[in-house]
Amino acid sequence: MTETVESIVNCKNVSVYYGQKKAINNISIDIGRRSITAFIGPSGCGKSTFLRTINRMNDTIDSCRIEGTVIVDGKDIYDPSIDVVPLRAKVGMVFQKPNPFPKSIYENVAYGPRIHGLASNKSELDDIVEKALKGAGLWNEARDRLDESGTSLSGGQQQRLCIARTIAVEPQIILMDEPCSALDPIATSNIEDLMSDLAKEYTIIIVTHSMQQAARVSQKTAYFHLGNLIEYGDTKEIFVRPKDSQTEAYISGKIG
Amino acid sequence: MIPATYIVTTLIGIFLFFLGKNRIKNICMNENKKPHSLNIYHGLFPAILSIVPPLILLSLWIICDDVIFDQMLKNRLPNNLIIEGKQTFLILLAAINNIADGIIVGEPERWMMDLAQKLIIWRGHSDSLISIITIICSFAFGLYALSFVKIDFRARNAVEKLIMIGLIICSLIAIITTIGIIFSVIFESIRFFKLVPIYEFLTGLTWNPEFEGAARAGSGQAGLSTYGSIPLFVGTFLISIIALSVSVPVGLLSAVYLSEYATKKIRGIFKPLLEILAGVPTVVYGFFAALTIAPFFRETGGLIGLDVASESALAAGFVMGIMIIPFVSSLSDDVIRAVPQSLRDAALGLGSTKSETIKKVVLPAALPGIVASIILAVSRAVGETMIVVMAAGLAANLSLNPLDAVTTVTAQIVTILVGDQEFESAKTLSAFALALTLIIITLILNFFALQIVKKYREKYD
Amino acid sequence: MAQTRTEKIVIDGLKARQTKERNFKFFGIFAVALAIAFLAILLISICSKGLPGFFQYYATFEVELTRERIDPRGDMSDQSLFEGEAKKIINEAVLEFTGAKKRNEKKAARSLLSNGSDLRLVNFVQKNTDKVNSRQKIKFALDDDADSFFRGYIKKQTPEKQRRLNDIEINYLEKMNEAGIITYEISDYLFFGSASRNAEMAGIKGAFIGSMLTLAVCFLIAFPLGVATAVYLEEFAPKNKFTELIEININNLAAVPSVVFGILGLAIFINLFGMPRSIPLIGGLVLALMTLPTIIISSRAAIKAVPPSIRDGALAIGASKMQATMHHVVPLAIPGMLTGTIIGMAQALGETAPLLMIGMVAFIVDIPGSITDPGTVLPVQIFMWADFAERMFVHKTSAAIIILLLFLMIMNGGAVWLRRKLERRW
Repeated sequence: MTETVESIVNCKNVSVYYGQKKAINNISIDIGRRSITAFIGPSGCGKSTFLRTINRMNDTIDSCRIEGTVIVDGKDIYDPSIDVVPLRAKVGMVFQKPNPFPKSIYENVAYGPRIHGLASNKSELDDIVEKALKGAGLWNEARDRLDESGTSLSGGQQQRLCIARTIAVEPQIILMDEPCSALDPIATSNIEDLMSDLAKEYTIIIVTHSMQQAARVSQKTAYFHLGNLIEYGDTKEIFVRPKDSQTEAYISGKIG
Repeated sequence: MIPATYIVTTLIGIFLFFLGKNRIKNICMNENKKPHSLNIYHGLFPAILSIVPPLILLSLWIICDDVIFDQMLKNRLPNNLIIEGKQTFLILLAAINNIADGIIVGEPERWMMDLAQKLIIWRGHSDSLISIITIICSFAFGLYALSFVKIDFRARNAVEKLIMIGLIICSLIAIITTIGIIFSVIFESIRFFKLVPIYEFLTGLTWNPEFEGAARAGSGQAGLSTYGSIPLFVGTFLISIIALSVSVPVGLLSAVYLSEYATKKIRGIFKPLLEILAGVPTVVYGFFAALTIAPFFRETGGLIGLDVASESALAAGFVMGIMIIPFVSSLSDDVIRAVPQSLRDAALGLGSTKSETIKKVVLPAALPGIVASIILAVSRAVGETMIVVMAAGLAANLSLNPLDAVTTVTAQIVTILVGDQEFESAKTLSAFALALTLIIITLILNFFALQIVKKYREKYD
Repeated sequence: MAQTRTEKIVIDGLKARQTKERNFKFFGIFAVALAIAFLAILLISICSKGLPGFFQYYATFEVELTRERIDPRGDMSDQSLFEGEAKKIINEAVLEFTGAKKRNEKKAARSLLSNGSDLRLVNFVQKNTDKVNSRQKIKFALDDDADSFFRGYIKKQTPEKQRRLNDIEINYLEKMNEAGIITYEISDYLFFGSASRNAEMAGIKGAFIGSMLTLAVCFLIAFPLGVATAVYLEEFAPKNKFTELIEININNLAAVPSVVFGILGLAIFINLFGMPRSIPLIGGLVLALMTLPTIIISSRAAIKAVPPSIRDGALAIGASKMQATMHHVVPLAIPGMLTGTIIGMAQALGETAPLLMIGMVAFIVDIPGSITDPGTVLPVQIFMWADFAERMFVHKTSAAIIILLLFLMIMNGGAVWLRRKLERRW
């Protein structure tokens, strides 16, 4: 490591079980503030599962059980006293498939600020929506059609709408679970540009299938295999000089 | 004689089956070739033709012969016979039929005995005639079919075609039933509207069909019955509203809880338990309403100084509401579960609480389906009969007070049509007019519900 | 670490939102609990009234079975036994026991046993011809008022004028009780009796057999028709307006209220075709038409669940479309079809309204022997009994309901079992 970055997520000995099956095996990792960290690895390696432990989205799966500690911004998020609501307001998430609500574009973005009470009046809310849409690079395309349904947008636009919806809450961390896997190359490059912009303000953790994407956007990369964290380090290092033979095999396309 | 004919025809069919099978076998042996179809099909083809059409003919004849006999009796009634008062033509015919069956009440008149005697003879002739015709047909069809059995005869295709015709006829039953329902209701309704003007039926405020002879001089006059159906529809409406105000909140909230909060195990226990409510026969609910709920409401009403009728709309509506809970809950449950998990994830990922996710994302997305389930519940409530007959009473009060006794369309249909009817009287015919309106209402409700569901499916498929 | 604006606002608002969340969840639990409570109240109310209906009070008397008096013609024929003095013999036994002398005393004593006691004696003699010409202890049912006394519905403390039993009658009943001849036993009348205006003699046998006959007709018509329709629509029907028309009709029939099917039966089968009223044949026909949509819809679902690979496999080895369907698809779909049919039959078993209209509500004492004999069915019997005010009828009605519900439970349970057991997982 060349520079010391202040870390915002600290995981220690985290294991995740689905019923009897162990999906994540004893992972410890620290993730730096205002940077982009990429989780890569073959499918089924547990990278998405691990991502979802960071904002406790795994709570929605009944059989899921977690061991170890996950500390976000200094707090153990699996402490019984922690409520998931403020946690998820702080740790936003963008999903694999664009999932706008079947409501207007405006309502989609305004949803988060509304439930959390972030705006005290209509004009404040308008400002938040505008800022979020601008932040997600959707403002120019959507400013004249805010009343149209969010589902009427194209796939890439929908995904940017979901990002706008997430940043409208002003979280500190944004988790992205293969955000470009359902998109075409042009939409993908738009999102990637957007990510680099967002990284100035937000901590971004992205799960991706595509090694090129990880290489393009991330500062740090973690390689997962069969529920284990095999290697974690600076992206440049990992892609140029992987320390582990499995990582090397994956990066050079031998497994995947 | 008739049962014997059925058996003989079947035996002919079985005989022809083996005849056909052997014939093709022999032909094959002689010519040393393989037939186009399996031997069994060469047997089945004549067998089916010799059994099915003749037996259908026989069954149709048995159903229809009474209609013909009635017509023949009608032509032979004494010329000087005066049909007076309640002694309608239909009752006379029934009496003659009864005498022929050996049920003799009192001392029937001489001419009736004669006609009954004739009827017995006709029946005998008719039975012998149709039996002979059936058996001849059976042979004729079977032998004709047998003449087709040759080496290159496509027996399988022929048999399959016959089966196909059978399948198509079966699937026509749904249409025939619908036509039957429409015909049975429309003709009598038209006769009713000739006696009672349709605007009186649709707009009249008094329903009182009791003072009624066979004929009806006018409407709305003193001592005559009146056929204003508004009180019945108001009663139906009132009871349905009460039922819905029980079943919609309970059913919907149960569906939300069971699909969104409950663990798999709890859901597995409580969902079937709720569905038991839909399996209880309506007559049991009626008994429960009349014997347990109605007295309970009356007593509680008495305690707080309310005068609750012993047969109240409240009791009937409340119990009907209990019955409808599972209709609302299981349909709503289906549509709530059809809302994609990704929408829930999106809302939860933004930090919504579970209830916020449900109220602001899941329920709005499922709304069309929920509306459809409520419409179906309404149609169920409107068509429900036994609870109302047993617990809401038959007093056609024009009232929106849930503590009064009211009556409904279905309850009136049942009371009018139970027991002996005279098909000439406006009272009997009025039941058909009520049924017509009931059918129209439920079909409209069903149509809207299906349209909404269809749109909803398109949205998520 | 410094809190951001978002964090601060969210944490400030958290309490209120948590309360709302708890309330909402509570409402959900409350709704489920309410629905279950309704079910429990319904079942408890029926059972608490119904279980006593399975029992009734009997009094055992010793009677002298003199041959000449019982069987005046001496051939033990029904005719002869009915001409005999069965009633008189019983009355003598009762009078002897009570010691009634005066006119009003005798009248009171005679009124305590059920009206059907003589029939019971005749039945006893028919079954035990060897016991004629001896003294035999025979159990007779009490009249329903006497029965009510032992159940505690008629109280001695009530002024005589306000109760249905007078002092003498109560006196005699107490005397019987002290002598130990009163027993509280499973009611044989409930199971083996038929429709009766006398509560203590009323039973469900006739209605039960009527129900079974009706259901048999319903099944024999609805199952083949429903399956054939489903097979045609799912496997063979071309996609055209005509098929669409059939489907619309099926959906509409499923929505039509059951009374309308009663009207159909009345207007078409009875009025137009001149078929007799009150018979299981018509009842079964009407119920078959009513359950047809249920069977068609579930059979279609069962056929749809058979994977296309099975069909393709059969077609690929040269089977015709009909052979593939009849040899492979239909046999695999049969469990699913049967499940739907059982559920439809359960509906039909509980249905009342349409049967009222085709005259199955008539008071019929004879037990139907075939589908063309007049009869009634269980739910209609329940409906008729529910109109009688006697306490014992309330009990017997509830007992009949329990029996009906047991049958429905068995049928629905059977359907679930069948689905679990036989339906393959693809």
